[in-house]
Amino acid sequence: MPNLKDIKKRIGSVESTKQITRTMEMVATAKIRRATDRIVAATPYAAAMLEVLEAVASKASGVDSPLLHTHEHIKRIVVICVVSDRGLAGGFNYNVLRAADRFIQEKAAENIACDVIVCGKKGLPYFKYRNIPVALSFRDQSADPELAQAREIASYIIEAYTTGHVDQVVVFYNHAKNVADQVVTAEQILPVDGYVFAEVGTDDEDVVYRDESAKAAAASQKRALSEARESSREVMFAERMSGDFDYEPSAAAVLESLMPSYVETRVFHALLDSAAGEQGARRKAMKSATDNATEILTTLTRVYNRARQGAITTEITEIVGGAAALEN
Amino acid sequence: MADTLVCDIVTPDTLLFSGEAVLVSAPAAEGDIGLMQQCSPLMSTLRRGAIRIKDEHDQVTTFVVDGGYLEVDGFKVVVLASRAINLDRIDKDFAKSRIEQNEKRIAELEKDDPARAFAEAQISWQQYLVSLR
Repeated sequence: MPNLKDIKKRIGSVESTKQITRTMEMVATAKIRRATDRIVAATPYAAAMLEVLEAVASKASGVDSPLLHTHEHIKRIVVICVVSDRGLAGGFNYNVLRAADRFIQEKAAENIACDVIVCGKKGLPYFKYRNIPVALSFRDQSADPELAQAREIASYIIEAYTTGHVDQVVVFYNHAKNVADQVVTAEQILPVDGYVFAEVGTDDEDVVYRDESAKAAAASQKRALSEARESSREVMFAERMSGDFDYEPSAAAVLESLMPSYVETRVFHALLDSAAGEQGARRKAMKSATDNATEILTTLTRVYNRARQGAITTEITEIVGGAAALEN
Repeated sequence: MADTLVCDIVTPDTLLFSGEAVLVSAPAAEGDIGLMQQCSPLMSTLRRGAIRIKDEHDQVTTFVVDGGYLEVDGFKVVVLASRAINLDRIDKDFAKSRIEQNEKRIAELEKDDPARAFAEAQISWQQYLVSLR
C-alpha cells in the first residue's frame, strides 16, 4: 500500500511542474507573435532584393562574380547550424544538429572537410564533443537575432569563399512552416544559385532521406516548383519592364555590390525563421508537457483516494473486528 | 492631381517608408538624381546620403541612407538600404552611445576578427548621423 504522505508530495511536485510548463507555454505563445512580426517586417527587403538580383543577373550575364562562380573541386564546406540558446523545446535543436551531423559524416566519407558555424548555445557542445571544428559561434541571440550577427557570418563566409578556402556554404535551420510545425531545412548559401536544394525532413520524422530514390523524387519536384516560380517571375518582369533598365555605374558593378547583401539577407532570414520556429517548438513541447502533467495528476489523485479509502476500510474492519471479539 | 510615384524604402529589418511621392531625390552612384513619374527605368547603387521625398502637398520627408540600391521603373521607386533612418528621428545622444559601445567592442576584438569591420562600419555610420545634427 503506497504511503499517503508520499503520494501527496508527488501530487504537489507534479502540480508545480505543471504550473511552470503552463507558464512557459503562454510565454512562448506571446513570443511567437513577435517573432512572426519580425519575419513579416523583414520580408519586403528580401523580396525586393531577390527581384533586383534576378533583374540584374539576367542583364549582367557573363559577369563572373566570385560568389556566383561554382568551385570545381569541393574540398571544404562551411555548415551553418542555426539552433537555439535554450532547451525545453522538444526536438528543435536536436533535429537540426542531427541533420547537420549526418551531412558532415556523408561529406567526410567523400573526403570533404567541414567547418561549422554555430548560432545558438545548444549547438556548441554537440560539435565540440564530436571534435568537429567550429569556426564561429554565437550565443544569447537566438530568440532575437540581430542583423549584426548575419553580417558577421556573411562577411566571414564571403571572405572564405572568395579566397578559395571554402568551396560551398550550407545552412541548416528550422523553418517555421506555421506556428506549430518546424521543418528542418538545408539551403545552399554559396555559391549563389538561389536554389533551395533540399528540405530534409519534418519535425518528428527521420531527418535525412532514407533512400536515394525518395531523395531524387523530392529534388525533381522541388526543381519543377522553383522553375515554375522563376518563369512566372520572369513573365511578371517582362510585363513590367517595357523599357530596359539603365544601370549606374554598370550592371556588373550593381551585381557585384548586390551579392554580399544578398548573402547577408539569406543568412538573416534563416536566423529569423529559426527564432520563430523556436518559440513554436517550445509552445508545442510545453503544451504536451502540461497535458502530460494533467494526466499524471488525475492518476495520482485516483491512487491517493484509493489509498485513503483503503486506510479507512482497514480501520473500520479493525474496530468492527475488535468489537466482535469483545462481544464474544 | 499631380502625377505620383510609389516610393518604398526598405531596410533588412523593416519597411521604413511606403507612400506616394511627386519627386524623389537620391544619391545615386554617379551623382544625385531626381526621379519623377515616367522617368526612365534605372537601377543604381546608392552612396551614403539623403533621400528626399516630396509628396503632393509639397511636404518633404528626408531619410538618410548608408548606401544601398535603388530601382525605379517609372512608376515605382524601391530603395534597398543597408541602414536608413528618418532625418528627424536621429538622436544624437543615442548615436554617441552607440559609437562608444562599438569602440569598446573593437578594443576587445582581435585584429582579424570579422566583427571588427562591422563595428567600424557602425561607428562611421553613427558619426555621420551625429555630423548631420
